[in-house]
Amino acid sequence: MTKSVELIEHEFSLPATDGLTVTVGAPAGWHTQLTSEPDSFLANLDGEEAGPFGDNLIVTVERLTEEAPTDLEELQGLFLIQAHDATPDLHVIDDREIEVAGDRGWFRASLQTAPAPTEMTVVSRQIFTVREGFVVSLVLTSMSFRDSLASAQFRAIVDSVQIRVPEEDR
Amino acid sequence: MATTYDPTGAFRGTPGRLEKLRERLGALPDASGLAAVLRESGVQGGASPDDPLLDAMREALTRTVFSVTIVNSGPGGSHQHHIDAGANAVSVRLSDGGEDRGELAVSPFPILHGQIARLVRFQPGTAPEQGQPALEVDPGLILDLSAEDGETREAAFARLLLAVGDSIDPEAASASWQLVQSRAAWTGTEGQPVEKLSVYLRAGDRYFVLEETSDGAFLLVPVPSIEAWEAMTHVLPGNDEVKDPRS
Repeated sequence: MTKSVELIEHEFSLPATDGLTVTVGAPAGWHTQLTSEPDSFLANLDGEEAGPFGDNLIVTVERLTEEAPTDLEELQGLFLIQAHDATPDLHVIDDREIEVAGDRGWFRASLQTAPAPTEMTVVSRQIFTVREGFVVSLVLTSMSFRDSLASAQFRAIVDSVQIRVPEEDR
Repeated sequence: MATTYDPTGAFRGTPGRLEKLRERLGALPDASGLAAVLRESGVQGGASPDDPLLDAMREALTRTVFSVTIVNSGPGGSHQHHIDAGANAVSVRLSDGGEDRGELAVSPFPILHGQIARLVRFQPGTAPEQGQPALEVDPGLILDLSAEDGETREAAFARLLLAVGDSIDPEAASASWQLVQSRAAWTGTEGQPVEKLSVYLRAGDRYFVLEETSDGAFLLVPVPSIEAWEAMTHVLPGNDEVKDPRS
C-alpha cells in the first residue's frame, strides 16, 4: 500500500557552490536547517515521534577535488569504497545508475547495523549527481521499522529535487 | 548430536531438539525453571540458568509481539528461519541449517531488518529493462522452487527458465538463484489475527516479486533489488499495528 507523503519545498544555495541552487522537498513537520562544514541542508524527525533514532535527510553540494574522478561510474566506485571504509557493517541492497533531476545520477541503498549499545539497523537511500564540477548528494536515513513510510518519502523527495546551475540563469 | 550452548546466546544442535527446547523455554512463566529445562534438554557447553541472555530468550518467547518465518530456497538447499520478536526488545531465531546445523539464538530486536538481509545474503541486483513484462507462473512452480528435495527444485528452476525466455541469462541464473518467502504473523490492535506474506525470486542478479492478480493469476514482476528487499521486510508490522501482549 502506498503511503501518502506531504513535503514542504525548500530552496537553498550553499555558500561555497558558486550559486548552484537546489530545491528539495522535506517531510512536513521535520526540523530543517542549513549547516556548515560541510555545507549541507539537513532535515530531521525529532521529538517523541522519532523514538531512539531521528530519521534524517541530508543534502550536500561539494566541489569535486582535482584528484577526484569526474566520470559517474568511477565516482560511485570511489564513494562505495569510502562508505565501506567508514561503516563497519554496511550492507548494500541496491546500487545502480538512475536519472537525478533530469541528468545522469546514481542510486544506492544500504543497511547499517550499529553495534552495542545502540544495536539498531537503519536504512539509507542515497542519490547523487555531478553538475558543473559539484557533487550534489541526497541521503535519507531512517529507522528500519519505519521503512514502509521512508520508502514512500524517498520516492517523493527524489521527484521533488531540482538543481539549477548559474549558467541557466544567464 | 548433542545440543551445545555458546555464551553469545546461541544453542546449536539438531533442528528437532532445538524446536523442543524453544517450546519448553516459551512455556516457562519465570526464570526459576531454566535450570530444569537445560538439564532435561541435555544442553552441554556450560549454559548457566543465571545467564541473562537465556532469561531474555525465555521472556521473548513467552511475550511474543510478532513472528516472522523466512524460507530461503536455492540450488544449495531450502532453509527456514523462524524469528519470534518479544515485548522485551529481544528476538529469538530458530534456523534450520540442515540435519545437525540448527541454531536457536537471541539478538536485539531493532536489528531484525539487518539480520534478515544477512540471513538470506541479500545482494544488489541489476534493475529490469524499461517495459520488461511480468511473467505469469503456475503457483505449483513456486511451491516446487522451495521444495525440500533438491531434484524437484532443480527441475522447477529449469521449467522457470523455459518460461522466462530471454529476460534472464540462463547460465548465471542457474548458478545462483533464490526464492525467498517471508511470512509475518501477529495479533492486531483489535485482537484479530494478522498475517502477511511476500515472495521474491532472484535469478542471477535479476529480481522478481510474486503478485496475485484480482482474477487469481500469479505474476513474477521484474523489480529493482530494493523493491525485493522491501517486499521481504515490509511484511513486518509497524509499531501501531500490534496488540501489546501485556494488555
